[in-house]
Amino acid sequence: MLGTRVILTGISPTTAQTMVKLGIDLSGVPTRGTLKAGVALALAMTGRQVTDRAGS
Amino acid sequence: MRVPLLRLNAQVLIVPLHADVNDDGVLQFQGDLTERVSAAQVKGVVIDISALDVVDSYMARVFNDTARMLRLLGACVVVCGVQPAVALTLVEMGRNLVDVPTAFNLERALARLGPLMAAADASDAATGAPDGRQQRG
Repeated sequence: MLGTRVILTGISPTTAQTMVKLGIDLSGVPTRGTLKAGVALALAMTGRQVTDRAGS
Repeated sequence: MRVPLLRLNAQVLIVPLHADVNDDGVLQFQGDLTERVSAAQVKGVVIDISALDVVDSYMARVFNDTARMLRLLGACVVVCGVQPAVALTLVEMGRNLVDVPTAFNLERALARLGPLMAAADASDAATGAPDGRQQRG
């Protein structure tokens, strides 16, 4: 309602299996396995990305 | 016998299912694959079912469930090597039984996976916006 987009992260393999078996539909919410992947997606949403610095 | 999970590169996993996989084996494969995708932070998975002469409704359901699980973990799935007889039975049983992108062979599956992984990130980045607009900051 406020216009914030939510990413659900930290989903473990067993959680993913349970959610599918219970039929929980999270197709409206982007999900990622780790916080790292979630942060990368959040940055992508706002038009940013993490890249390696040249020379390091 | 466990299903081998072959690492192609940092992002892609290739899973060739062998012919004699049974109901227990396919569940074991589901568990192994989700664990591996999560541990290795895999972005794309190709499941090769060219060795399977028969795919029953249970196995098709397990494929669907596995694809959903992997999507929750942030990975894309392509199934390849669907035999003509398998395609025939799957369509006869119900169209949405395999609700996963399919490709003719491994080569085309890998070619399809690249754009799919890019599209998944793009569509995830676009979802959640109430008006569908992509916010830029």
